[in-house]
Amino acid sequence: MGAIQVRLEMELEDIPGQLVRALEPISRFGGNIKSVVHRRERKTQLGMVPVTVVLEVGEKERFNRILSELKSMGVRITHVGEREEMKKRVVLISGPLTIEELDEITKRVGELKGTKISDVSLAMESVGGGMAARLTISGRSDRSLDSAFSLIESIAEKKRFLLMKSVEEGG
Amino acid sequence: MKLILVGFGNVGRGLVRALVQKRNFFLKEHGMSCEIVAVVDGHGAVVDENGLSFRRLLRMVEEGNLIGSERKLGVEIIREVDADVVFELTPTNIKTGEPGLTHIKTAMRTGKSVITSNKGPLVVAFRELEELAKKRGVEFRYSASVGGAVPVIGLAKRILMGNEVLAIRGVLNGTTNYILTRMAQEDAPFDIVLKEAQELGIAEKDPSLDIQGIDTACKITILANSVLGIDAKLGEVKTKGISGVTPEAIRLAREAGFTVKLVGIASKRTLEVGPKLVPIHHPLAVSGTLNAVTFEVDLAREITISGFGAGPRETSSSLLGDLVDVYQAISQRG
Repeated sequence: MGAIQVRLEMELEDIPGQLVRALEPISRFGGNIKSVVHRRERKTQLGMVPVTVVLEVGEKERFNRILSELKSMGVRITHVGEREEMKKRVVLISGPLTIEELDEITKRVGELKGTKISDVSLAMESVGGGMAARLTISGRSDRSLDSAFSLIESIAEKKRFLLMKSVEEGG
Repeated sequence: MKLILVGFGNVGRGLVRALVQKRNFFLKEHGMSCEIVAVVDGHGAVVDENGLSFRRLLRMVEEGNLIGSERKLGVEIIREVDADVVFELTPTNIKTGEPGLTHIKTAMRTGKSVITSNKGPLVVAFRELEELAKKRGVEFRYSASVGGAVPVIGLAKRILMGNEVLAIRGVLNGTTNYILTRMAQEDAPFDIVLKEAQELGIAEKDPSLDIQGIDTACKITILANSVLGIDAKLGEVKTKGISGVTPEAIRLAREAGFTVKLVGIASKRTLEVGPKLVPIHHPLAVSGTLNAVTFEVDLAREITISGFGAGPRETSSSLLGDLVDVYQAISQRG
């Protein structure tokens, strides 16, 4: 499923509570705030403070709701930034996996066009002395994610790692 | 309806009990009256062409064996005793399908309809049996072979008839689902939870067919054949079991909003069984010994059903559903 990443530029009045108020609808409609830059030093001539929010939201519909809510609250939106569709997939690998091998997987996925491993979580296994790793693959399209997954799958098969992907993908 | 039961294990005994208990219900609701004219197991057979008495049947169920049996084989009884339906309930053999396969063929060749819970013959000779039934003009049902009490095949082939089924995804094995559920709850390794499941009688002494995913692969083979119309063989199902799943992997999955389930997938593109990540709120994320199946179809999009995948009483639900179905099909023919 593709999350949309949006860069929202707005201007807020320089009075306490305005930022919190402007961020509230984002979380209420399920948006995930990635960063907020509040630039008081760049106040406009009308005394407004420019704020840039980067947020991620599950689908476009939700983003439209956030936008109309902000507008109805009287928040001045000056720019809605490029929307990059970042698709993500979680896969789990476990078995006799080493950090070096994980490093190699990350590197090789990064070399594919439009994909990268954007998150890694590790756990040492108490039985068998192996390791479990959860990888989040990010990519611009389903196709790029598919090729990243195939790459990981071929490595897992060769090295006899157990690979698990989401039941909602493929098949 | 005159019935022959071949196989008197847990499933056979559960069926007898449910049949005796619900005989008035079947008469009143469906106008169907049934007599069991013969029961056969590996040791012998009891036969009464006028129908075995309920008291005697229940006593046999209580004692777990066929009282006053004569030494006869299943095939002989099927051939010699006059009946409408044969219930083939012997243990599954996925290599040869026997003795179930011969039982089913003999029944069909002598003009008897067949209802079975036995995966073996279906995995080995699905097409052949379907064609034989058609050729001999008899009914053939196998709802209990997949999903236990869960009406997986009936849902796909009857209720969803207006849809094309694109893919089937299912948690189809209660034993492995129990093990994975307990591993997640207790953060415990596979071996320890397997031992616990064996002590509770949820896993068999030799659990390999379940934990290696082969039981699920059999069900996927049956679903691919019966629902998707693919001439699939068991060997074509890419199968992985759950023994490599660790509590740490389950924990990492949980932190990202997933649970680990042994899932069988059948579609035109893939036939596979293996541990998969299932989103925690996905309807397939059932716990304990439950089974669940999601059908991806063209109109209704996704339909999921879940329920008890094993147990003698639960399985008799599917067997008796098939019996009413066969009765109605025969009655319509006149």
